[in-house]
Amino acid sequence: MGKPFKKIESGDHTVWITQPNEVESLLKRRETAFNVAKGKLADSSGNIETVMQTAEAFGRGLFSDFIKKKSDVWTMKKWVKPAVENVFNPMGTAATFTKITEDEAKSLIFRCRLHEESNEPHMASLFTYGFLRGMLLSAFPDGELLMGSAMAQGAPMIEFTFKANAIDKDRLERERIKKNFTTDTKKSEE
Amino acid sequence: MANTLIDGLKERISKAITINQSVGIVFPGNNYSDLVQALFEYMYSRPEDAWVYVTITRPYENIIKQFGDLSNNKNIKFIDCISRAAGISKVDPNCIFIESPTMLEKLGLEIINIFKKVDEDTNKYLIIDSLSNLIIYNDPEIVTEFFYHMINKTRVRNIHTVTLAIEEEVDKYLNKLIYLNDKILKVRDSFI
Repeated sequence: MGKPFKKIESGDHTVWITQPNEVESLLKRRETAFNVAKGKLADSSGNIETVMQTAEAFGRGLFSDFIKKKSDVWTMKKWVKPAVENVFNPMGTAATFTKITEDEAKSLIFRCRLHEESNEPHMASLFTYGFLRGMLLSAFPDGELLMGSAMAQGAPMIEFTFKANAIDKDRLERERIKKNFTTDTKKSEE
Repeated sequence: MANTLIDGLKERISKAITINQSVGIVFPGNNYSDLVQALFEYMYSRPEDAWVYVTITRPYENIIKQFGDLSNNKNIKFIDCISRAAGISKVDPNCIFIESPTMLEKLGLEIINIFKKVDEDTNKYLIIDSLSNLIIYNDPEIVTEFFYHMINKTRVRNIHTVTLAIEEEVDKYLNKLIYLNDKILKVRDSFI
């Protein structure tokens, strides 16, 4: 497998772009998990928490299978590399990382196959948030995933901030995301 | 609601672009889809004009997925600055792929080369989607220099430019650049 990122430099400015390289088995695994989440949403009369939990469990599974063995002690830099190499790239996700430090990373996803193929953008955004959060918190139990913008809401990119250590305000993010997507997801489910 | 928004945007873009040589559009990120839809509908409605659409925001293949096959719209050419950097190797005769969004000199040359092939009497339009994204990949000072050159070159060649900027990402550099345009459109749902 090639390098997970392409480093782009301009003056003092550096960003990193993922190198999507789809792996069918992983896409299938995501599709199955996504369909399970949709089924649970329908069975629970639109309870968003079921989608979040299913997605997070899927993310924890990905961490366990593809990331966990890469380190015993995690820093964000150590986490991002296998996450991109073994999850982002095989899932065909194109993203620009604008910041990677020991305790924080920022990414802008500009190509997400789940959004393109599912025709359910709100479910896709919610599910993506959930599984990335599961992957992140497996390494950083005190961390949090922040979502800045979402394709489902008309933005061109999904903006995520991965934090190794959440501050108090960050801990409300999961509930904020659930609330944001509650109405939209129910609509798209109907 | 979405149609009203898109129609309103189309009308504002049409008015601004006809009167002014260069137009900057500042919009909330969540209005991106509607704005791009409005721009494409406007481009479709002007098949006699020549258009160059520079994308730094999304790969060309995503644009095709959203708007369908554009091969019949020979008057619209694309320059994709992001696909190759992300290892996406799609080839399309309607699109020029630039290796990296940092290759601004090459981008400038490709824009001018496309317009060189267009009759002098044809109205020419350049869309840059977006300045915000150019700044994500480049040193802001370098983008400033590029944009000054671009605005001057297009003015000399009578090419109208439309430059997009996402409101949430407008910082001191972007603010300075966007105001180089003759007209600024600030998109707000309530304004349309």
